[in-house]
Amino acid sequence: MKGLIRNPMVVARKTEGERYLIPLADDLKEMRKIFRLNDLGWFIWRHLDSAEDLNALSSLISREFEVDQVTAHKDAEAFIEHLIQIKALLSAQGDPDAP
Amino acid sequence: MPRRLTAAQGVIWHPLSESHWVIVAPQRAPAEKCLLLEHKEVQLLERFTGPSGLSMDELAPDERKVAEKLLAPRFHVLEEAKAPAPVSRHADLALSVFLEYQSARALEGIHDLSLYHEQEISDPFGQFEHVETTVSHLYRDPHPALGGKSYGARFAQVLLEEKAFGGGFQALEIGCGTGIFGLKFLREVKASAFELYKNSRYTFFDASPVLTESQKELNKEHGSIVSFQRGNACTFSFDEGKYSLVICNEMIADLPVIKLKRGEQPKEGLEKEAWDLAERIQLDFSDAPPQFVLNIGALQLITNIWRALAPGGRAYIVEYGSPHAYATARDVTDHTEYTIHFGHLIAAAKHLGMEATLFPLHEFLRFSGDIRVMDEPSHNSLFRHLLPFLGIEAEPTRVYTEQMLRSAYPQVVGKVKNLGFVPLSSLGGIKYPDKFYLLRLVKKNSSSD
Repeated sequence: MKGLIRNPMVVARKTEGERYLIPLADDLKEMRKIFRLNDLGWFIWRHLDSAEDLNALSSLISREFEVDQVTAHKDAEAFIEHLIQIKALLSAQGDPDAP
Repeated sequence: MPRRLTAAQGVIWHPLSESHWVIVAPQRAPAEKCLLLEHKEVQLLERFTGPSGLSMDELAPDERKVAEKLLAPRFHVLEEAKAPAPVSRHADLALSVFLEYQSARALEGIHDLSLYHEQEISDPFGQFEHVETTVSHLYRDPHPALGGKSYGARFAQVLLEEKAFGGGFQALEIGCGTGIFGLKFLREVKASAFELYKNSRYTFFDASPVLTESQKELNKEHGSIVSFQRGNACTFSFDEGKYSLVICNEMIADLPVIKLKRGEQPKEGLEKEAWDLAERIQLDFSDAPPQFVLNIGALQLITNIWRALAPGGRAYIVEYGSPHAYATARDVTDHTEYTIHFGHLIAAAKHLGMEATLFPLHEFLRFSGDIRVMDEPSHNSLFRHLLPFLGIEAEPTRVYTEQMLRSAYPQVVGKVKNLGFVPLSSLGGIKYPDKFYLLRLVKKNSSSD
């Protein structure tokens, strides 16, 4: 998706029917915060590259999950905000506050 | 809450004289783990062996003094009773990915043990007794967990039940260790299906000249049924379509691995070759850490096995690993091996048109997980410390039930106190190989080329 990239230090892994995002760190203790993804979350994570923007992503969600576009948009927006919050998604331009 | 104390993990004791006992306290601070205690101190120690221990409040003042002494680091015969911390599934997953990433970071380019196998192995039995124990070696003799059969015999039994052989087989075992797997495998076939045995041939293939000699020596009884070859399994030109059965038991973790970077196609060298192979067989690296280890040797071997197999032929590949986790390094005494990403091997096999089915090894061989065997702390205390202290030669690399222990060491076992026995399924590791998998490949009758 334009303007956002997946954090390369996050590993997405499907195991025993569950889907997870696992943040990598040099210290194992820092890796405890694993995120379990539901069907929608996994779908969004997998389609971040192919969808150009939030609208395109919403359309994909709407088709896949048979929900209306407005609901799909709301869900996608909320989830992406969450991914940014947990630093699983980063700004493609880098952090503007970085030195 | 009053302090509850219990005998420290792995503490066992054995009488030395009427007044003294030798205590093995494996966690005590001094390097020497055996110490002597008086009879009355041991009598007190025995009261601490219950699962929840004993409260200090339940002791008389003079007993409390002894308990405090036994609690001190230089004794560490007692410790505070605590419930074992549960390991969450998420913690396991975090550890697995952490190790995958760290293994890749620590690896420089390619890791290849070819020279080690050709030149460094000098003592066949010692290699598997002391350097790299295998499930096959651990269960080399009949064991109740395998229905009274050895590992090799059980393997043959299950394959006979699967009707994997037809009227006879042309077998190729790749990476054969001391040769004991093949020996027991063929003995079982001979005992259960003599006609089939007579119509079969079994080739031992190995990289190590020393192991090949051991395989020859051990398998003399199978006469003209057996033959022996040496070479590198990944690159060797096996006779195409010759074999109806290929077995690789606990050897593919020794094959070369290579470091790659997720999303970064290498421009040259072995990395590029590995990347191109992965692309051809459509491996998906999107779930990999930023750097990861690829089981390139095992992938090459799958292709070589496919070539060697006759149409309808089967291959059975056993190793430590996971259906979805990337390779991680395992240090074994004098070399490093890598766990197997079976998901990649399955993708490679399917790409070649083979049927691929993955089984947890303990399920395929039907290990009886409820058989009670000696727990790890007791095993270590007995074999590393007590038996050497008593000057008794021991064969530690086995999975001992109480009965096996009694027949092997009758002079000691009845007298040793506090040995723990637990269900085999609680042990894991190589004793209950629930992290080992068996990949069964079947080459279809009509070639997919």
